[in-house]
Amino acid sequence: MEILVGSLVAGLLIGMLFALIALGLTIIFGMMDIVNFAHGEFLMLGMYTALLTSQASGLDPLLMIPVAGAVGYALGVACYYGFVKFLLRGPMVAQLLGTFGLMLFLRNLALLFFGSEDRTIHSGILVNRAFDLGMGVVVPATKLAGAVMAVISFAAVWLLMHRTRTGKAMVATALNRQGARYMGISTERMNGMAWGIGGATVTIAGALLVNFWSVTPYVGLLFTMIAFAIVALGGFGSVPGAFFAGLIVGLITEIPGFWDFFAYLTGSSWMAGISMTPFKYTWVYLAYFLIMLIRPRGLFGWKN
Amino acid sequence: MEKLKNFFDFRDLPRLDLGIAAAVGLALLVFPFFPFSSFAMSTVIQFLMFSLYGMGWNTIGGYGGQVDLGLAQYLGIGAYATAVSMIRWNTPFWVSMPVGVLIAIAWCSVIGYSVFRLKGHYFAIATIATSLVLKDIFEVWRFVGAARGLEIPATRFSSPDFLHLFFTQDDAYYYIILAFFFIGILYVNWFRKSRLGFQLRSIKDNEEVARSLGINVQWAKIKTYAVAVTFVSAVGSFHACYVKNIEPEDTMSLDISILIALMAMLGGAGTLWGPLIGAGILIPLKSYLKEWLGARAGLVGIDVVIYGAIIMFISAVEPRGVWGIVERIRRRKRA
Amino acid sequence: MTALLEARNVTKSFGGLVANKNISFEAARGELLGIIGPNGAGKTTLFNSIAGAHRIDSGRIVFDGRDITALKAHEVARLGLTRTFQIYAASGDLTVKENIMVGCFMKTGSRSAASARADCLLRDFQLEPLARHMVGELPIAAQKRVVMATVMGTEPKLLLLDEVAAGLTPHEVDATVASIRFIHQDLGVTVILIEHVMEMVMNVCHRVLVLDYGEKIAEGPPRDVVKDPGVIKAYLGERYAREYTAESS
Repeated sequence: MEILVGSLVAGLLIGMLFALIALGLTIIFGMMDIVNFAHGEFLMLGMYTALLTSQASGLDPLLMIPVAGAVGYALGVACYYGFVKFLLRGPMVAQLLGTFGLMLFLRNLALLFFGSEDRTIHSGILVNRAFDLGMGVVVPATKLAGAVMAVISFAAVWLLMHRTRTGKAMVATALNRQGARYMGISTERMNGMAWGIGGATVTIAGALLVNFWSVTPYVGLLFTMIAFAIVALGGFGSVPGAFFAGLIVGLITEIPGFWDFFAYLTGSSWMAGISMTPFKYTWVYLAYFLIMLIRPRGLFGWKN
Repeated sequence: MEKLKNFFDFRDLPRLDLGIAAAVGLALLVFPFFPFSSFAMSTVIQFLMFSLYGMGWNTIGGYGGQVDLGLAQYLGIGAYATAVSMIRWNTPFWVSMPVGVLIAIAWCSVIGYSVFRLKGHYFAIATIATSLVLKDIFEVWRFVGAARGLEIPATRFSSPDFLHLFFTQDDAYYYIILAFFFIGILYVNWFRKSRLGFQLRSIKDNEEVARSLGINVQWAKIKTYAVAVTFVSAVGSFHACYVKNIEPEDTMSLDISILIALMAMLGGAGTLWGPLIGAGILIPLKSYLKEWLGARAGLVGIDVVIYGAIIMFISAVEPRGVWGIVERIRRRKRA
Repeated sequence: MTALLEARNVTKSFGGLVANKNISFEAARGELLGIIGPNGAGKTTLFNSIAGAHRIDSGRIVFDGRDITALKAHEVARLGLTRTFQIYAASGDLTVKENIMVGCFMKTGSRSAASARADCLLRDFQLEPLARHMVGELPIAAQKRVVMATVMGTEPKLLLLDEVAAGLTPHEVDATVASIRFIHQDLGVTVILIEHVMEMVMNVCHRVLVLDYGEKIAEGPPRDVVKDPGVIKAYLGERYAREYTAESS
């Protein structure tokens, strides 16, 4: 029984963080129809930022979250004005390959500067602490904090987009670019902001993730794919969609746990013999594929 | 008989292009007779292989406009079909290669039927997803050697073995892949002028209009996909015999899929020479960058940094690729 | 004589909007039928319904004695019913001749046959000098001629033309009328056209159908339809309709 509850809780917690990771991708897509292959690389850079500044300053990694966020915002804006802006003029092939080039560029820049070894956080208030939620379920404090902060960030972004003037301008541009322009809203600025906010949210997610996930320059791709699946499931461009889809995908990655539980429940030795752990993320890719077949718009999607 | 003539009919191309193509073709024919290093030889073999991958991609991605970013999975299917059958049953290459192609076509029909309804980004990501799923399966499947992969033992055959494509010298491999290369070009030349080629281009132009002109879009896409997959899988089989050591990471990875698409795009997607130009630029670039810079300690990764920057530059500046630039210049001269 | 095309009670809705409501009409072989009506009346939707571009909710469509209601767009085209599109967004990768050849390829698998037929069509539609130009680079009038030539490549029995005269100067409209007459009389194709340019409809059509808010409100020779109070009301509003009928009585 503990396996079931444990998997559920773990799935939901990590799902919230996944959702935050995907948030930036969906905002950018909603704004300008571009799929950012380098999204995972932003995450990776957020992870490195938090880890290195924490080590350099001796401060707790959680305090580095704003730093990571600022770096992410700057990086996003720089990428937009320096590169993505020009991609938008071209055909979709070029856009896909362009952001892919950005991915290779950032990944190997990190490899060049940081080397390829695994790095983990060893000290911090929450590291190595855990909360006992009863029923034999123990949750690492870092994961819990990650989930909580993710929810807070989501709420913050949602408030930003629906309660502030700038945010509403962004939503307007996403819904109807031409119309927003007639209202005096600069598409360029909105695009830049989308990349800024998108970059910031994912680097913040990175700063949270690095507390329990070691970082290498290669860590990005997996999360890019997870983010794609979440955005597809939730609906390209939908913020609430990203949240709920994130939870679902988080649960999908806990399939090994559910599988083991079912194996135990049904006493099936065949099931017990196969381990689903190597396929944790395969199920995510499959889920993406199925969603695209059944409902390409996703749960809350409004774009075709 | 008209059909056969069409393979060799290059008359509609400018004479300058044909001249250059003939010169390059000749150079490729005599290349092994010159004392180039074995590194150079393997780079040219890679160029030929990747040109073929690119040509395959070009049919569906270039002429057809459906950007596929998961074509490497078919490379894997071809490579593994050959490797597995050769290791277990000593199957000749010339048998396992077509079998690999058939398996690849079967797999692509299954996927293609469902995935071709998707457009643009969604299609591209779906192709990535399927290739990653297949790769994940191969990495744990003991029958194909899981993550460690398979190795065709060097002691199994004695060179030269034409049946099993086993040679100690690269020269024989070179000429075999060169033959494939020439056949590939003849095929693409036929394809771009054939009914299927025109149908595809119409589909790329505007799918609804294509349908109104009697084109069965779904079927045309699947047929073309089968062509693309044949190219990739056949050369994948060759790859297994050439490198003799295959694993999922270096046959089916996303990086390879993207490289294939990239080359065709860089050279000019939807054109006859595009994939060749793209391969001609990227393969030597990749190889030599890695040789000179990548291995040096402290500079690991700089080759791909440059490589990535080049991709970024081309996508932003001339998305129609090198050939797009050529055509732009020509059109200006004509006007 | 049986009609070449028969539409019976064709109904099509999009969500809550009924775009075509119980529309019935016939087109005889050799006719030149016009469909007019205010914007949003459901004319293009009717074409889409007939040509199989979407499924209809209810009704039947019979073409050349065969029920084509459930057929898909490409199947309908292959039976000899082709259509043009009002808005044609081309990515522009094809030359004029290549574009026409796409149409010709419906009837033949051979490249040389398609090429020969395309050459004929280039001549028929005065496109020879433009053969090697990219379609996207041409002015609108020429693009529309390319579209007509392409669609003729499929050797249709029935051709649906959707606003071929839109955006053209009066001089170009005359040329278009000539092309349509050529297609209709010289090549023996039955034509149904959607038009807003009234001179064309008046001069060229045998019969006219009027749609408004998804329904057929009038049908008959152009001269009669124009005087129909319902038609006047649809175009000019209630007030003018009343004034007009008051005047003429």
